[in-house]
Amino acid sequence: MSGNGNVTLTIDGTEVTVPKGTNLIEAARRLGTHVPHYCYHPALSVVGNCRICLVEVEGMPKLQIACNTEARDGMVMRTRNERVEKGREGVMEFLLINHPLDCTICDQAGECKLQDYAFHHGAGVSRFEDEKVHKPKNVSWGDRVVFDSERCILCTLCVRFLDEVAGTDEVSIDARGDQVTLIVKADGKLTSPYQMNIIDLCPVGALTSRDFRFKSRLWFMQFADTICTSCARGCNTTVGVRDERVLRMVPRHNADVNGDWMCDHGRLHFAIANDDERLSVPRVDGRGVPYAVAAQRAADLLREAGDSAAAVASPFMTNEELHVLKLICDAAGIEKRLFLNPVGPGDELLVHSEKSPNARGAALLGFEAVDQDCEGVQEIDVLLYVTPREGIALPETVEARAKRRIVFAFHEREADVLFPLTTWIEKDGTVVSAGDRVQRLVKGFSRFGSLLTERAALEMVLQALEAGFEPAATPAQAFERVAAALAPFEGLTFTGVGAHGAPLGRQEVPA
Amino acid sequence: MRPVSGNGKFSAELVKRVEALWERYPDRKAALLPALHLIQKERDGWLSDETIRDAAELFDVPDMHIKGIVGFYDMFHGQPVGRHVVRLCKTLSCKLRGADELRAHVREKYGVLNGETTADGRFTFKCFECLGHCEVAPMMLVDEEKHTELTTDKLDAVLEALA
Repeated sequence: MSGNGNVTLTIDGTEVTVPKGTNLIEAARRLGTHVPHYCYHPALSVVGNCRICLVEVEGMPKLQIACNTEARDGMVMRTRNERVEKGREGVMEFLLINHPLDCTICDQAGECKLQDYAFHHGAGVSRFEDEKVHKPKNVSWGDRVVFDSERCILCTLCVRFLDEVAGTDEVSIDARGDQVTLIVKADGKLTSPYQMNIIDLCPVGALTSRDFRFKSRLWFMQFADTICTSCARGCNTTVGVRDERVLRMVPRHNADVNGDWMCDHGRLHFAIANDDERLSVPRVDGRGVPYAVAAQRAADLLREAGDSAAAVASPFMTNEELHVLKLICDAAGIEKRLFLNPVGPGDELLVHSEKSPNARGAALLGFEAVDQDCEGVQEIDVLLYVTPREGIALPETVEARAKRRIVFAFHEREADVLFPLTTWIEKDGTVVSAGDRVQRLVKGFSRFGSLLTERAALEMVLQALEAGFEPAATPAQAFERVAAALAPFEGLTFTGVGAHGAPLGRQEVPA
Repeated sequence: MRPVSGNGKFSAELVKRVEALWERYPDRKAALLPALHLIQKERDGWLSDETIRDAAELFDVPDMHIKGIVGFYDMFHGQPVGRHVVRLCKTLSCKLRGADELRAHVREKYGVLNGETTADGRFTFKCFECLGHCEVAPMMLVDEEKHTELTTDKLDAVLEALA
């Protein structure tokens, strides 16, 4: 007996001890053994309807489904042998009988469990000679999700997610046998602000994204494991890019931040990254110039203005960018250090009321949150202004209080010095998310080839102000500078923050 | 039909009977099957989308759950039916003892296939899975009354007598 609420069992000849109540899929996971499954998800209730997770348990006459079998003391379980493989092969044969096998035009191809398991556990040939059952295809579930009933294997992950996580209970099963299909309540359109998670959950190509479908084969995309910047939650994401364009953003597992989900608003909020009308070179008095020229001009203006200048930062900037901006303020003697802080309604699941990724970082680096009236900016000589994302901006009347303006923006606009602003997918760096968690942005591509990030551009301005300043050679070095300047960052390293973030103010245990 | 308690969509008597059913289960949703039989009877023998919405409102569940039940169980009708529903058993014992011939006879004489309703609206004909009277096969269920050891003559006598 293992005691202490633990049980010890043997999986494929290796002993493993797990907490009582652990199911066999999770127990096997402890040993790095993957038990195939469609309908099982650790965050949702267990239904045991796909039957692919068959395993052999000594003493039980029939193969058992691992998802719904609890690990017991002394249990001897096998996840692979001839009998198990034969069982899985049978399940695959049934699942594929009425499946259209339209992988060549299916968006799921390349990340489809039906494909993967057919490869690993399928017979390779079909014995089925009759006409496949035909069911509704291309069914609109509203403006985000499209349903194909023929591809559906009825795992009910979507049904359970919407009921148990999103709380909208809006998809259900209709009919019986080979006629079974999914239906949506009321007018047939989904309402949940989290509905697109069912597309990621769907193990096959039955649920596809209206936004992404038919845009690219999976294997032609590249992926950046970054975060969403639509609110302070900082949901971990994987962004799929191709030809310097964002094609889709999906949630990436992080038990401490977003679980396996993200909201639809964040997921679909990337149009600015693909905007062809964006500014591609810096401008001085409306003329395109090299970065060095714009940086020199900005430095000259700031030096002349001194404390009659104000800096308005953006909470969409990384800690590293904000740190360089702080150093510029120090060097030029700018006292007014502010940032616009967009807020709005949040919800109880993930959406945070702070509508930017890094208001905390901005505050830590000495910038003061202000509303759009910007009382702090009265009659000044120079305004250094990094515009936030769409939805919030300084009113023209506030900008007009400055004689000269140095602005970072996405688009052409009035300014003495204008720098192109970059999006979250074009930069490496860190932010401080909700719960005081440091998380990394990971660069997916550089737009227009020559676009510099705000950090690089600001470093050039700082270099023009202070001859001795050396720009950071790498994102890691830039982070080290922030960490050295801020006490709560003590003990954090760029590598330590890693792909899943790290909480502020906690010493990292040296390896 | 008198207007009523409940959500005002069903008769007072029906609502009273549904409420009695609710008493017997840990949650209201569990009473859907017996309740839907009552509702189906009150609404001309079938459950239209509108009826399903009314029932969903009465039970305070999303309509899709009731639609799914109607789609799953053969004794609930999602399409209009005739004044009577004739269910002819087609499973093993009945089949061995002549259910196929009876089915062919119904088709010849009354002009209806499985699932169809006679032109005069008298009855809807359905071929059904085992109705549990193998010892007196072949058999059929007309509404809620069973008729056993059928011959074509016996079947005709029953069907002719339907109003």
